[in-house]
Amino acid sequence: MHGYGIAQHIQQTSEDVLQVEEGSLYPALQRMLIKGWVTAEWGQSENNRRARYYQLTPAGKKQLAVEISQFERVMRAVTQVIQPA
Amino acid sequence: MESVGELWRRLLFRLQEGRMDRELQQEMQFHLEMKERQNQDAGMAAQDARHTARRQFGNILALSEKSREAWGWPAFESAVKDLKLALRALRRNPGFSALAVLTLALGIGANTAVYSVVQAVLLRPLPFPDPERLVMAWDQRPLFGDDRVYHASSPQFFAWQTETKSLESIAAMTGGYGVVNIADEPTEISGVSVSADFFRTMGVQPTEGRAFSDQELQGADPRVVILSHRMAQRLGGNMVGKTIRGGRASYLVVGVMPRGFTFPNECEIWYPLTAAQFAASGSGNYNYRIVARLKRGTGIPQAQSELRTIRWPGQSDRLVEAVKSVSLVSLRQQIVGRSEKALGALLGVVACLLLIACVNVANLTLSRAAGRQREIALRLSLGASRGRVLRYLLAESAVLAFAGGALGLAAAYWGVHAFAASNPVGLPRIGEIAVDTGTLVFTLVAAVSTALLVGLAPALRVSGLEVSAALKQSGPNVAGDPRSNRIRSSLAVAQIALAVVMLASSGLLLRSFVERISVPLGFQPTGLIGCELPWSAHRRIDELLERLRAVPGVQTAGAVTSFPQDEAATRGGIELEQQPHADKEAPVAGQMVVTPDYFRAAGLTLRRGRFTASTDGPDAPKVAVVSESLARQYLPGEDPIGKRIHRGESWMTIVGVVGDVKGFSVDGAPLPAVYIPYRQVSWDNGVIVLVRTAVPPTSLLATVRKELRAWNKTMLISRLAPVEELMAESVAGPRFYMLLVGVFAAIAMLIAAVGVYGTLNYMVTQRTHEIGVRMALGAARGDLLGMIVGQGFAVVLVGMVLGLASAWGFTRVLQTLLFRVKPSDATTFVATSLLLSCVGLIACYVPARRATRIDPLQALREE
Repeated sequence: MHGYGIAQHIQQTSEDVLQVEEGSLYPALQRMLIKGWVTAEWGQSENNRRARYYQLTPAGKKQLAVEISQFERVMRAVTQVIQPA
Repeated sequence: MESVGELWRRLLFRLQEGRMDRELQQEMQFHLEMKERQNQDAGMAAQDARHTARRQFGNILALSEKSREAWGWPAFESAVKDLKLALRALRRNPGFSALAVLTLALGIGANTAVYSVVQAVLLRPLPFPDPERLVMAWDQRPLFGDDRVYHASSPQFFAWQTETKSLESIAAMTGGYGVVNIADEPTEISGVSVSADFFRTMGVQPTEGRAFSDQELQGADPRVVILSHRMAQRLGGNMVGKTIRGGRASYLVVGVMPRGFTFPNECEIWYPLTAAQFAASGSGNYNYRIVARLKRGTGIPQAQSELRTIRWPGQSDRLVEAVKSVSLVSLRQQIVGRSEKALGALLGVVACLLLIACVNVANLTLSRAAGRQREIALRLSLGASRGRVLRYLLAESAVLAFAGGALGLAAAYWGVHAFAASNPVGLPRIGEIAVDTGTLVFTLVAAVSTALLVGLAPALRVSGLEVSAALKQSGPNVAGDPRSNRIRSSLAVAQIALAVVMLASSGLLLRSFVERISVPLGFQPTGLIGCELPWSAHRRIDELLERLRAVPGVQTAGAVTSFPQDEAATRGGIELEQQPHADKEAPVAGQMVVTPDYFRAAGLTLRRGRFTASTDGPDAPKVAVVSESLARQYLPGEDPIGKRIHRGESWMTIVGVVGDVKGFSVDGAPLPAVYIPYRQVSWDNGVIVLVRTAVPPTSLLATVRKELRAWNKTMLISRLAPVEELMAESVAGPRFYMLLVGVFAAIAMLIAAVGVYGTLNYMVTQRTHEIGVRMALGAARGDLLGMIVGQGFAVVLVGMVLGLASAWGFTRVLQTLLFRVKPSDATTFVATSLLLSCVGLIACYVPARRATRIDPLQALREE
């Protein structure tokens, strides 16, 4: 997926709840490139424009799993705290 | 931690930075275009769609910057960039930069120089194995003024040596100088006679040759010596087995000590202290300094209490008491103890100087920062983070501090070498001084702290900067930024306070110096020539004195064993007839052997009775002349004339009382003194010849030297000079400290005055418009002047009060450098306050006056 696509995806799937400054995606992508969690390749977009496509690497998938499990732990904790017993 | 792959990718990205950057821009552009199209599809106008897309995307410049940071080593890169920027900014303003660098160089240089002295003298371990086990014995009683070394008698030393269980070894030392002919000229050098175990005790053996053998130590007059490395080099190197001459005697060199071993007192030559010499000195002679090595695991208190209980033959009851006050003190304490506080004080003073320099440069930087407010606001609004701008400002102060540090280091290097070469204050271990790694680290730390201190004030400002307000502001605002003025005022206050501390310190040293040189001497140094001759000269002393008296212009000439301005060369216990000594200190007195003319030549005053006379021959009744303080201390309320006094082996009758002579103990009360006629005792020290002249003494120096040489062609003649000149040497140390601190204080005051002036000038300039308004509304010039000066002087006053309070605390550390002046001396503090008030007033008045000379119309137009 290219950067714009990722931004769109986040906005749409979160039903416009997560509206970050779209550009902040790019520094994050650069960091992930350096870390080796994603790879990038230039390709043709749907409307024949050159765009950079990002792909998760195995290391990236592993990191994602770690991040998700951590996030879920925090979420569980938060849920438990805010829900009446 | 970074993995290898990550490092590799970083390197790859770094190498292709240009391409990566282009691709990133393309990618972002693509994003924006897509977004724009989407917005248009949603029904927005073209212009609107583009702006909305941009707003949603965020600051492209800042985001690219952040992305680039992800690839590289951003901290390093931005630091380099900051440094480049800082250098450029500083080059644009050479006046400011030069001033700042010079000020800081002064502060850092002074600190580095003093620190390298402190390091060599105090911090570096002594160059002996296990130095912490080395001790010296000293007497706690304040009888000997400054010199705290315990002088033991030979029976005492032998008793300690045989009976001790807590000392591994113990050695005795005596004498203070030796004579070596360098290029055929007899030259006096630092030297000492040492007993058998000296080198074993110190744990250092000769690197070439050997230590003294038992035969040499048993012999009555063994002509063998050990040389210091430096002396051996000076005499040509490879000295072991060679013969050197000292005066007319010749000595066989048996050993050369390793480089750097110069114990005690920068010693250059060691002689054996023989059994015969020990035997010749009786129980009444306290001539031996004691150095010992503690057994492993033994503490100083343990050894000390043991030595206090050891008895020796012929020990009088009083000496049993006296020995109870023997203290052991670590060698380190003994060697550097007195310098410790003086150097600490000096370090405090130069630290003050550096602080003042920092504050001043911070103030200068702040003025620049105020002028650059718009530039900084612009940087902030263009997407620079506050942290980034802060780093940029810090880079500037870092460049200044490090340039100052480098310059200061060079100055310190030069200064320290000049200092070590002259050693004006007789510091121990001065030969070990070097500007080395420790010093470099110190300079580095000083420079970094300086950079932080200097950068702090502008940084504080940036953190509170209102961007939009700063951008909108077109010129200086009416009353000046109160926040900035507050910082500047505090800086000015700090400067003044520090300057007060330094001024008070230098004032105290000045007063103390004046006190020291104005102590009543008890003799007449004006019109007096002195010189020191070897002990053997006493044998034909009458002949020599006759010769000198025959010189036209000479009034009289006499001889004695110690210069009146020096400490007594011989001191020891005396006993007084019928003296109730049970609860008293054991009487100790300086003992001088004199020719009858000594008193008149030196100009001592006779209080009672008579001086010694030529009739006091070997067969006449034994007599002595005592000093006033001896009579007062040990024979209070009695007529001393006719009382008997015991010294060594014989009783003497007191026939006269003379005034005290200061020299025997410059800093404390005068040491009681006994003068003994030279034909009734053996001459026990060097020969000091004093020549009283009727013409200016310098005009007779050459003649006196010629006479001395005519009398003896080969003897060592040392310290031949007008006594006033010789005395100047004895105050060289205090004079040096006074000058050093005085110069630093003067610089500090100047910097502080410039700081106050700068601060006030800036405040006044900012208020030009306001002053114009006030004048247009009818304010009198005089009132305005008063108002501005008053406000400036309030700053000076606050600084002064704070400074006086800190000085009150700080000057206590100067105690050891002071002579008869209390650290809280009121005169000094009042004078300091007055001086600073005057300087402060001028610094306030000049800008204030200029401000009130402004033409109101012009001031109002100026915007």
